[in-house]
Amino acid sequence: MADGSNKSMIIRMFAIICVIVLLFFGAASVNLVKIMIIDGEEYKTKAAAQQLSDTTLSAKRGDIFDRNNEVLATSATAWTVYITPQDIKTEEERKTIASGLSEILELDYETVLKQTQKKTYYEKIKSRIEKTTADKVRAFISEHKLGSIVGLDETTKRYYPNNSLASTVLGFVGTDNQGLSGLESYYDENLSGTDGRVRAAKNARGADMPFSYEKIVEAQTGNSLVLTIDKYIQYVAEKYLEKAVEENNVTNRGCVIAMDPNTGGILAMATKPDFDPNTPFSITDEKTLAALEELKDTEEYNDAFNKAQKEQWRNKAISDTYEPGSVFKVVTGSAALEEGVVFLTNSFSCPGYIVIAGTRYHCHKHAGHGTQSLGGAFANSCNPAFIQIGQTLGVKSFFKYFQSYGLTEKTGIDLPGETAPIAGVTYHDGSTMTNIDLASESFGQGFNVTPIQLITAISAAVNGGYLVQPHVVSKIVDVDNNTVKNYETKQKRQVISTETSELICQLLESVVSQGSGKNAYVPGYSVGGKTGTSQKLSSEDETARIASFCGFAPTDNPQIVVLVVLDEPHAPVIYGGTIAAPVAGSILSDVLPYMGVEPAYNEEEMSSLSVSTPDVTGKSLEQAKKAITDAGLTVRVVGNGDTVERQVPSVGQPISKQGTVVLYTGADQAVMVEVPDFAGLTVSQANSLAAEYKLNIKFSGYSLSASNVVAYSQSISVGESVEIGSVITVSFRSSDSSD
Amino acid sequence: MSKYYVDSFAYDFDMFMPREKRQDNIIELDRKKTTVKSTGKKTRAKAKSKRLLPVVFTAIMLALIVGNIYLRVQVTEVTSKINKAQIENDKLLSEQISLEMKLENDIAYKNLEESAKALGMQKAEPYQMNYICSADVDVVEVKEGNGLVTAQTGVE
Repeated sequence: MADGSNKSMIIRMFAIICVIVLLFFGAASVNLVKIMIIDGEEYKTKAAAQQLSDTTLSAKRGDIFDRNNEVLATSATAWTVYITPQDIKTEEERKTIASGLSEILELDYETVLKQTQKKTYYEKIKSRIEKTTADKVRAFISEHKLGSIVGLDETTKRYYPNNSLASTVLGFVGTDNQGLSGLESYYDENLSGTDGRVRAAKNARGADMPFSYEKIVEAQTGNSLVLTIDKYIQYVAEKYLEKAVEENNVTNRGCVIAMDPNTGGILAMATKPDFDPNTPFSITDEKTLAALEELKDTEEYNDAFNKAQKEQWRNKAISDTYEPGSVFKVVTGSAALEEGVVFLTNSFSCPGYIVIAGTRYHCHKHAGHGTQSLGGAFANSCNPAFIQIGQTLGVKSFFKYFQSYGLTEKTGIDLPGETAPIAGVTYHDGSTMTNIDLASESFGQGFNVTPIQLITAISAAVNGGYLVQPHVVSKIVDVDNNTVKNYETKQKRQVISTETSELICQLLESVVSQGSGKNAYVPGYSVGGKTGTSQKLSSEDETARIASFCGFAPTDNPQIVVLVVLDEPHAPVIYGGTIAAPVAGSILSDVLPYMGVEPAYNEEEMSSLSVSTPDVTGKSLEQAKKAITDAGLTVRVVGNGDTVERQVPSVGQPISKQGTVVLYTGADQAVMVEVPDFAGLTVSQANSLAAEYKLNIKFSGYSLSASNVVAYSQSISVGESVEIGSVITVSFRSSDSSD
Repeated sequence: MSKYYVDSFAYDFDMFMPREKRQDNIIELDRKKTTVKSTGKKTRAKAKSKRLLPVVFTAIMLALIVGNIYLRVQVTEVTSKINKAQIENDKLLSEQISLEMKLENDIAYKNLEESAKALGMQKAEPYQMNYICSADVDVVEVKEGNGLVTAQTGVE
């Protein structure tokens, strides 16, 4: 009996042990499944984090070059200075850090002192300092043994060596080096490259164990962009635009686009006022700064500041829409010629207004232009004539060309923020357009386009009829300058025939040589263009206008098209032909010789050309007088010597024919004179005034033989003291342009 | 008898075989002596080599370990030098770029124009410029034989 109970007890015990073991292993197995399979990834990550150190190697951002490989944006290593305020032990240490860092980093002492008083472990003092400053900080750290409190983190700094040049096109990068605006944003993926990694095992102390357990994936430098933009043309465009915006008190910014009409390559794109991409968050426009200063310490300040920031980053040339006004007449005219509903021989009558479906439309010349040819209608920029042309064309044909010129779609330019046209909002769709709509649209009112859309359309009208896609990047290259991607010319369609395009070029040349675009005339070059002064119908201010001009040259083989838009000028005269055309003329005057387009002067131009001042220094007075007289100039002598010691103007300086060269024959002191005001004077009046003050005048800006030409600016300010004989460049423009 | 100790020990079937009379000139002892002598020498040599083997092995191992450590030290030093040089190179490159950018800024068109104006210089007029035509592509001249020169174009 006892044996039997023992045996059964042993069996029970064995069974219980088995169950316990099974339960134990079962639980262990379940746990293993949970740890290894269900939560496996999480534990793997945790283990890797404990055993491995992972360091990111930042990839160098690619550069941006202009079309001549001039650097527009590049990156280099920089440093961020930080402190660990919690580790500061004494008050003396705190003051040493605050005074030392504020002095080296050119910061306010009190601000740095406040940062040292914070109860944090990381306080950034200054970002992106350069090596020379970083070396000073290092020396300061080692001198005061502050290695545990002050440190330097390596980072990357983006440089824009030309400051604000092309800033709205280039854009800028954020603190993490990511593109935030412009090309930096649009091509961020190409520019940013691929970050590398260093993965190494950690030892028991948490320090890296290199060599045996190290895996390095090198960072790949980003690709670089080569633009179609030319740094010089961009500079010239910005220079004259900035001047025009300031002189004409333009309150809603101005923009200029220069484009190669044959390829669609943007040669320059400027908006003024703009910003400096090296410090993109600072407001650069002085007027805006003054307005913000007034709002300081008010609730509206932050909103106003943010608005001003966004405004200065905005690329007006592609993001803002406007009513193009008379510049659009190129589209209406070319469509009518192409459709064969209008011919050069047609004449148009303008009594100063026209009535369409009961609505009276006035011409900008209220007295009317009388009877005029198609060329005359273009030159006079006559609204009733173009309304007649539009009505002859009809809604259907008009809209067909409106669409074909790309005005109902984005141009597809490779920049972020291009505004998309919306049917019924920015333009009238062909199905809803009435004759009244057609009447106003025929002369460029009643719909909106972006400047880039308009210059693309005008380019198509003058390049043989081909609508090309505008672009800013010509190619993407890798770090070894191998081409990764080429951006070829993209022709979308042929809108008008080559013959019609040639006719348009001729008609537009007459606008500059005889019509409203006279102020864009450049001696020696055949320039064509169209002026525009449009009402801002969306504005509460009824007097608000947009002055614009679109010019191109040479007319027989257009190489460059320039569009100038001045939004809300507040000057005595605010017509496109008066204030925008001279900007385009000045740009073309500087750029055409640079582009290798040789001038060809006609007889009238030859007769009014300046001459180079001959070199007579060191010669006898008699020899000097002869040389100067032979050059068609007159002589004024100062001193009683026999030899010319000095001359004004200096050698080679351009001087008008009949100008005076002052010869100093002894050690006499320079004879000075105060510069008079030439503004508003006619050519002969300016000549007389210059002679009275014994100054030389160099005429600039317009065909001087035309009527109503008056001076509007001069190279040396009024009241400035200069030597007699000095050359003052006086710019003239026609005052009879009213469009 | 001693023969059997030297040779086979367990089953010597020769013992049960009819024996032939051995030649008397065979001197067993001499043979035995010679055999013992040569076995002793071998044993000593073996023992000696057995004693040397660990020493040699240890020496080789030590040499390998020391060599390895030395190589690692060298690699560490070189890597450290490379890292330092790389950091210094980065710093200098950064300084170079920042100086280049300052130079670019100094010679920006705007500054050049202002400096030129301050020096009393005037912008050249288009009529003062001389235009020259240059080849669209590079021209390579190859001299062949007796002064013969051929021009090759089309190298861009």
